[in-house]
Amino acid sequence: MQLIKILTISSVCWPLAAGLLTGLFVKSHRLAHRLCVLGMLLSFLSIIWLCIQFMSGSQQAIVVDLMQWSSLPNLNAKIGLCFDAFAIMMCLMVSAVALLIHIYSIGYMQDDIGYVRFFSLISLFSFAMLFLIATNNLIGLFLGWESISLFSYFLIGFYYYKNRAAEANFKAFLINRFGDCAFCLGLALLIYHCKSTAYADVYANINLLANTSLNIFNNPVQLTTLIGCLFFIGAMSKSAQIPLHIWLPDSMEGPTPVSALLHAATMVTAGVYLLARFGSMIEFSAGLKLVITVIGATGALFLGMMALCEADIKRIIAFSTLSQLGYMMVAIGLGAYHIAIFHLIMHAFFKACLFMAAGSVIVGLHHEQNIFKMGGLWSSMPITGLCFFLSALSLSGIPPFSGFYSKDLILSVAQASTPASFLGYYVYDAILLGCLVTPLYIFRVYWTVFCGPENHQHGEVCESPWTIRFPMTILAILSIGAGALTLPFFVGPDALNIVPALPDTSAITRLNQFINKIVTGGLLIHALREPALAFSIGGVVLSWIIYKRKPQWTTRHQTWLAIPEYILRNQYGFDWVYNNIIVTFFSGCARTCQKVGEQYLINRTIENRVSQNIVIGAEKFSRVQTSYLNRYFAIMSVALAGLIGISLFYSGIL
Amino acid sequence: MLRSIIILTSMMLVLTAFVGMIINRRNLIVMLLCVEMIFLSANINFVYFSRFHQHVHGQVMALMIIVVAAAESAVALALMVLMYRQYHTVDSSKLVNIRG
Repeated sequence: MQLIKILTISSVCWPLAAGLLTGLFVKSHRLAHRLCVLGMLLSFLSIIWLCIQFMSGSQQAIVVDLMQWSSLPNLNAKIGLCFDAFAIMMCLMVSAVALLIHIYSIGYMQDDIGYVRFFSLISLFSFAMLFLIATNNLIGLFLGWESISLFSYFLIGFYYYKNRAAEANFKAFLINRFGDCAFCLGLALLIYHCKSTAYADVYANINLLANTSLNIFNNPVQLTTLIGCLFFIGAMSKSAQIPLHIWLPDSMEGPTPVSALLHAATMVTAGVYLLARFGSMIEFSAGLKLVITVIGATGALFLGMMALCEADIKRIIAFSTLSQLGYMMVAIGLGAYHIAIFHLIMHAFFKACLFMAAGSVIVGLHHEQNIFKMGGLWSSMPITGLCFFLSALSLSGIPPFSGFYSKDLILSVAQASTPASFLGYYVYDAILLGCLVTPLYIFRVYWTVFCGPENHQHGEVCESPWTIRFPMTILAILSIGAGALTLPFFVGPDALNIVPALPDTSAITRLNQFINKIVTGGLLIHALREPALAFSIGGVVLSWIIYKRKPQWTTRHQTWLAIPEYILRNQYGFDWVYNNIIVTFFSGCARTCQKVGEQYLINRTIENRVSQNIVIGAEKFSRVQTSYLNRYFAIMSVALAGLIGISLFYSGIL
Repeated sequence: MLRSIIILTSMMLVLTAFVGMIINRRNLIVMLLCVEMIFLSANINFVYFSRFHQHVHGQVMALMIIVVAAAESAVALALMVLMYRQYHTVDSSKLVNIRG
């Protein structure tokens, strides 16, 4: 028992210790990366050990209480860690990816002036993410949630001396703040009504919450719906769903390892994690589920399409992340929470690999990010090219790569359980078309960067060092094989236990039976009968034709392509709306406040009247200081005489 | 008779000191002398009333005042030495730095 406790704590706290030590005391580059990699490695090994314990034992969640957060009456506020199947899965993924990215950063960040700061921050971020996943109560959830926002802020603005990075930084933080606001309200409602912060008590009180309603504008709203909506707004900002997605492409201003770790594999999945964690609550509200599905599907198609007109390699992959997060949200909205987690984990592997390959290219070309200034890199960077190719196939959902399993399951679920209404058809069609768009944009990058004519002016380009190649290769292997390996954990009768405390409704049982049926009947055979796989393969072929075989196609059809290109380049005008309506409105308010409050009230009234009078008065009063000692003495003696006189008078002697 | 002579003496001493303090506007040493005179007049009162009340505390107090006055004049003289080093005078009208 004691060993388990130590392991549980060590699985989370080593990155914290390493990050703090590095940030506070370390100066040397070598010591910094050694410490942080060691911390991450220890954490990874502890989690593997825990996983083995969990699998071989009775599969009971491993719970460790850390401390009493506060001792208010009627409020159970303990902080602890809890490793159930869900948490162990997520922690394994996060610590594995984080470890690989720590190693990757040694090569990528070489000779950067902020090397030590980078390692410290990325270690602290890993701690925050692991803590967010492993905690078993709402306070821990809040702490983890806010600290990943914070470290994301630090890491996006890592090159703080660049203007664009500082702006992206600010934008990301502001939008996350908006979501966090809703998230905090949801937390407060939950804690208020459950009188406890432990997940277990929340799950136990779900039915009570569903039967309680709150009046909002005289309409009774079920508490589960209300809290679910607030959590979904939080998840929207963190997981970059429409319309709060605009920060994610801009956050590519950070270093590439940051994009790989935070903005592909871990941090942006926190929203999906949150919704899956409280799936039992969302399950009560059909309306909310529909909203989640529609928003997710819209993002999956339309945000992915923006990648077709982008030239920056990292931003293309960022748009792809937006689209994949949309797929996860669709799965959440359809009630297939474990499929969403499956896709989340698979996505972490191939997306981190894509980012690493992109980073490797960027390093090789001396920080060139425009894909049209690359080209023909296959011969000089074969390993990078291969890794990119494999993870791109995985992203496109080509069997037998891991992306195929999760994506095909999402599509099958969507086909089986979207309602037979306009919105239902819209959702299914959107994610189906998304399957066509995904290979189109990712292979556009592949054909342009690795094949085709050389366009760069860097002469001899050589393959990256082993610190970059090694983690990339591991992730490429994972994005080939992880899907087939982990599929048995996500389907089957026990799969529903992944999501804690899911209610035993007929819809969910039916969904799970359906998934079991198609998996036991052979996923590939099922996929061959469905349009999704054809769309994916068609996308790859189409991109080969458009971008490799006949590159003049786009120039020939320039006239009618101009309109969609204009729309996509401007990102559907989201930025325009935010800048021209919301930002203008609030900066107008701020300017009015500044004019009325500062210039009029403070400057004119206080500064001009009050302070000037004080100065004049002080000048007059200072004349008392004559610096003649005898005058002081005379005043003192008169005052003394007066005081004695008064006291004698009042005591009745005089 | 003796009582009034003694009290008058001490009053005269205080008044002399006050007048000396107020009409003299320059010499710091004279000011110090005046302050000492105030102490002395207080001492006379203490000693006389100690005898009058047949109580020894007043004389003890007088001894203590002599000690305090000695210490105080030592400090004041030291300050004056310092002032002389700085300004080459003990003229209080030269200390005008804080005049408003």
